[in-house]
Amino acid sequence: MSKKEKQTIPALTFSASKSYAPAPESNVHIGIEKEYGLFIDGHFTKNGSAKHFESINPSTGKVLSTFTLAGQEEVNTAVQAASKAYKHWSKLSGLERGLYLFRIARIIQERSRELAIVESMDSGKTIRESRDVDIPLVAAHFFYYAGWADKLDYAFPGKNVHSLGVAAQIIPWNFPLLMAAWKIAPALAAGNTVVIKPAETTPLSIMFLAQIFQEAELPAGVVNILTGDGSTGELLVSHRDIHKVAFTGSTEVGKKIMRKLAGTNIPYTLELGGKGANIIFDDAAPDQAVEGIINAIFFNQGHVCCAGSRLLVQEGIAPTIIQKLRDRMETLIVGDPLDKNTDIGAINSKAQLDKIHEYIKIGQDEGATMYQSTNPMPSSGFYCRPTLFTDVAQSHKITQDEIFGPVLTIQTFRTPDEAIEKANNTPYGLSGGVWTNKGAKIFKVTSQIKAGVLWANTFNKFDPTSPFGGFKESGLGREGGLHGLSAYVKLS
Amino acid sequence: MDIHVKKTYKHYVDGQFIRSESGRTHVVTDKNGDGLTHVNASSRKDLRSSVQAAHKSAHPWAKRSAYNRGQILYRVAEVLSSRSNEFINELKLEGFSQKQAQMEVAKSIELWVSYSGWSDKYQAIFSTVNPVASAHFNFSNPEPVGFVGLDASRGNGFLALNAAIAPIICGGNSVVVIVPNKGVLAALSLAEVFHTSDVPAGVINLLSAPLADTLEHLFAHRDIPSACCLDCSDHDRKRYQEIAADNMKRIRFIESNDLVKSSSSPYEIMAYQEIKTTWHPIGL
Repeated sequence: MSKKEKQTIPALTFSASKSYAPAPESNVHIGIEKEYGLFIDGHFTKNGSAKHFESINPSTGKVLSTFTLAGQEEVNTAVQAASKAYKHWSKLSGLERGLYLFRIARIIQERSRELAIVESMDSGKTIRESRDVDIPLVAAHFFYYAGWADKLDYAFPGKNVHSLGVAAQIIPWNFPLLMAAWKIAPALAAGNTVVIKPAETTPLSIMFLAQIFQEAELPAGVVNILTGDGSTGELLVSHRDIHKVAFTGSTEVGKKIMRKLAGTNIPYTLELGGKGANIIFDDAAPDQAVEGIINAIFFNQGHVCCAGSRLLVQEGIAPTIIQKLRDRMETLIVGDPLDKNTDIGAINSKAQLDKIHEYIKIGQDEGATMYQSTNPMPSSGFYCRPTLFTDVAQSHKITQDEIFGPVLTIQTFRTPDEAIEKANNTPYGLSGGVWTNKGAKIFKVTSQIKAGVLWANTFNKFDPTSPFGGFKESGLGREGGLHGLSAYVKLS
Repeated sequence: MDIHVKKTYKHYVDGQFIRSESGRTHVVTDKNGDGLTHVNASSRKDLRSSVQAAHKSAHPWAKRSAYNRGQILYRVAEVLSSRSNEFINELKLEGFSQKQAQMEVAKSIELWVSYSGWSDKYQAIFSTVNPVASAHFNFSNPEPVGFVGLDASRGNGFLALNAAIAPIICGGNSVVVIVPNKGVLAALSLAEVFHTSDVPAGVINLLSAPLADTLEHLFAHRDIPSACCLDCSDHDRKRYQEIAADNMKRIRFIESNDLVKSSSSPYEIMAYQEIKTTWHPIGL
């Protein structure tokens, strides 16, 4: 494309419409304890002799609460509690298990605003997202799998279904409660018991979930929660008395877990990293596509394993799309996660912010052209400007690596085959997007992209009925839907 | 003149009957330990060539219509049936009883018939249309993982070998097979069946008598997306799982006996499939 063409698309100016009055969601009524023990055998342990760590609010940098760092002894106690509870829980009828899960779903709905606020405080995600996406999906997941509990015999034709035992589950910090729901609900529905470890930086909201389990009178030991860091997770998956491992996190740790479980018969499911391609064809509706691109990369600050972090635009419309994208980025409000106007909240931790900044520097060093929105940024807390890179090559590190932040790379293509080849040129295979007006093109492209979830003319949509999970190095197994159930059963 | 013309048993790679690049062979013996013939020893480089062939053929094979794949699998059954006496004789040469050899070949023919019928049906059983709570059409369907490295070197019998290969290719995958050491002649002769059944070149590749490090390479190879090992020892199983983690290979271990029991099961096909979910908005 010539320079002249680039210049023919003028930028829009938004100077007059930039300021919004603050619209903060109040959090004065949220009761956060000063410190939390572990949730084992139906009770919170005393914070006793174990090591501690703090969780902070990434939008302010201030400490929210202190948590117990579970070591070998605590892991043993939790697994024992889960083993003991399994004897009873797995003998309940499916309907009885379902009744508990339905109760849990209902209480989550009742307390949804409180949970949304807690989630936004601990993770940095916007209240708009936690309120409208995360927490409704958490309730929906419990409700969905509650309904499966008494229908397992219909799920797998020609097979007898058995539970596995104690499921060891490790979840990440990007969707703390939602990942807890994805893991716990199907495990319990299928008759397993659970020991779950939340991420080190987001241990708070799952403590509220533990209270909900108590409120729902879920039998003691059916779900046990161990807070801690990577060492806790390693102890948990190394334990001899577990019967299933479910992990969501990085591909690097996923591979470690595979090696750790080698030689055992323990089944595992892994939901790992991604570098999703979002393909825009020249017959796509441009404004709709731009909204889709924004949602694909800036949803949840880009802390999304299935983010559309590689934009592939058909050459002819690239100047238009890129200019529209820049214009739209100028309207994005980066700020207080609890403000209802905020589009992009805080980066989850200082460490993650540093990592994103490092990639932004690498991108510039590699020779890519950077554009960042020019909106005002909060003066404290961990924030990152929405960023895009043009003039990137397939071999660039920012095109290859999962950045896990609001950073988009843009490449162009000429033919559908070139787009497909570029989309598949990655060890990952979690998600992909296709934008076009032609149905036939959608099916040609989606059927050839090696990824587990394909969004056509939409992006970053989730639903408990819809299986989610990766091809290639993005993981093994599916979560959600009928296929997600198979991760928690043994068939004979 | 009554001089019997003996067959040379070769590897089958990319639709060609070829010798090992290693130039090495392995002597096949009868039940008394007397030499029968040579088979090629397979090296890491033989494996690599087979992987290239399997990789190249995988997409076109997956793109064939399910109906067409079913017809090709049925043709395998037809050709195997017409040549069943040859396979029975080869198995007997290597020590199988008449009764056992007959049973294994007859059941193998049935198995190919059964999988030929599965080729356009398992999708209906394992696909879902998902009633999402938003205005989207959403469905999930199985897709072949690509191709499979099948270590059947320790496999037990002809039937188990067929029961391992058929579901892999039924589901649109290519396969690289290290054939069983016991029953190797009948296993290699299967290549002639595949070759005359319109199985496209590279979709099934057969290697025999693996050299020391060939098997480990199958589990380490970064371009192989999925691997299966028949009758693996506990020691090897641990080792293979460790090295397969490098490219997050989908890896499974199964006993020949269990495979024979579950033969004709669509769950065997699904062991080499990925579920893909597609979303599209509904609206004007």
